[in-house]
Amino acid sequence: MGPDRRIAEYISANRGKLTREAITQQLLDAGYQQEAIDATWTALDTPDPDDKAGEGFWGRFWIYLIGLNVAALLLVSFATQMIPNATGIAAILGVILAIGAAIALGIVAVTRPTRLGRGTAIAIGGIVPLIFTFLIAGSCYALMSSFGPLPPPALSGTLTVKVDPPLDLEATGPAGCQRPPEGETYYNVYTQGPMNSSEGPVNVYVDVFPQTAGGDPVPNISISVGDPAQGSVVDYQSQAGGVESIALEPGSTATSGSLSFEGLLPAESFDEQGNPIGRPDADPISGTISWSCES
Amino acid sequence: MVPVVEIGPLTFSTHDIFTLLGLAAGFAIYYRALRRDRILGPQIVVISLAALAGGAIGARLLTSWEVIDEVQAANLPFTYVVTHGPRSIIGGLVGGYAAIVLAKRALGYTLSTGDYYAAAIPLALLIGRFGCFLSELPLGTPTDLPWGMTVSPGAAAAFPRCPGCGGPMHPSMLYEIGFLAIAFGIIATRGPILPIRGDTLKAFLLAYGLFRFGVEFVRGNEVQAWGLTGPQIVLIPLIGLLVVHFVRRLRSGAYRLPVPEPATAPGG
Repeated sequence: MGPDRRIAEYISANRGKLTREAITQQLLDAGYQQEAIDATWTALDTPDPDDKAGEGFWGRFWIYLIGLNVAALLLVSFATQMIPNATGIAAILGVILAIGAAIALGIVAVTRPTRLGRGTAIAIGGIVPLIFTFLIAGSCYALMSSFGPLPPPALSGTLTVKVDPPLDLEATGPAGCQRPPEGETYYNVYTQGPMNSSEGPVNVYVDVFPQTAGGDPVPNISISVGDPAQGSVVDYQSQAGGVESIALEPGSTATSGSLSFEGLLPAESFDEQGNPIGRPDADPISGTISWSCES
Repeated sequence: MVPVVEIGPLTFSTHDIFTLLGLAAGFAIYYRALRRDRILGPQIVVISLAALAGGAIGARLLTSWEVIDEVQAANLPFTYVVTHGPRSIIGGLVGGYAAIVLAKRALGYTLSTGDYYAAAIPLALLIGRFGCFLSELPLGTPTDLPWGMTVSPGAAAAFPRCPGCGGPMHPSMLYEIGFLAIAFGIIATRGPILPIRGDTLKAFLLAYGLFRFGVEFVRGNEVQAWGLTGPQIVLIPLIGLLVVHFVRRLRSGAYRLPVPEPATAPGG
């Protein structure tokens, strides 16, 4: 039993609104044979062989090109926590994907979608930028590896700084702990954003590295107190300003540890336009820094 | 209870594994239905990707207001809410639905595809909820009913807030699993239960919304305002929109279906 004109008309008139099951049931109720209904559905579902690439192609192609690349950018950026921790790298990824998208567009435009076939052309729009990005990222990775072992990803945790009177502040906040590559002993710990304190925003950076090859790791610390936007910051830096003493607690590692410092002096600091905003005349400070990150 | 699964040196969160399994099963059913009706094409793939992305973002965003104060107090950027905030199934459904609508508009795609999700969504949620249950997430409010469940003191200590962890609690995840299993069974065996395209999904969402609203009373989630939890407050406008949709359908006579020309002419 073949397709039926009356069934086809009913299906065509209602398939956009009613479910396939409801249409079939209505036709059965009207006395049509199941075989005729199935044959008509099959005939209507068969793709039109004249439906070639061309009409409406570029609209779909642009949506693929932009949609897939934006989705890839967001997925990778959020999954790897580039956003919000490394937005610069996420921006570079976006630029690389855009270059790949331009290459894909060029390939399809020059070859013409009718010659490539619609599916192939759209696949090029989705895949070429990703392959291009993998090539660029792989090259960067290989290049960086050639300089030495790459460090493992930074861990997240918390950092606490306590400063003795007269400054007398205490602040705790999210921290990043950058572990050393295998076979190395240097590491650093840093706040992932300004921490709140009674004296305003506080940023802390601890850098631990051996002064000589094979020597014991020595800490350097930087504590910034105040809001740069308000033009008043005190940057205490053991390297630039100087320090009376820093003692790293034995057994401290990138994932957990603490240190105490005495007589940490402020250094000069400047805003983005180069205007001095620091207060190098502030009194030296003493206190402790401790950190803990998930291992 | 199995909060993590260890495979060799790798440790996976049971919750995440079941979430992925649920998504995979849901998409498998969805694509099978699309292939059966021969409408699986490039546009549907884009719409599906949009649904996935919208669901992922919506799951984080819809409940972001619950933690926004903490994020601001810690001076963290708002994107921290998206990357580290609480996740919500209701948010995932709303985000996915909104993304589908927007993607269809952008593509000029007019066919309603909601019913193809109607069996997929309860199955995906059902599997995901097993992950929640196995992860020993807080179960519910205290109860002395015979099926009340307890969690170990060690597991209870892992949760920042679990007011009922000291004794037997309503196994709210199991209530939800039961509801989803029944919904999936009905839709999977009967097909679309309403004749208009997309309405079976909306009917499921309405039923799930009402059920979830009720379950929240024994869930143990924190009361936010007017004696209601965050999910309940979010659900009120969503349920309202769905009720309005069905009232309009009924009042317009949309369920009185057009009758085809008879197979045999009268008297013929």
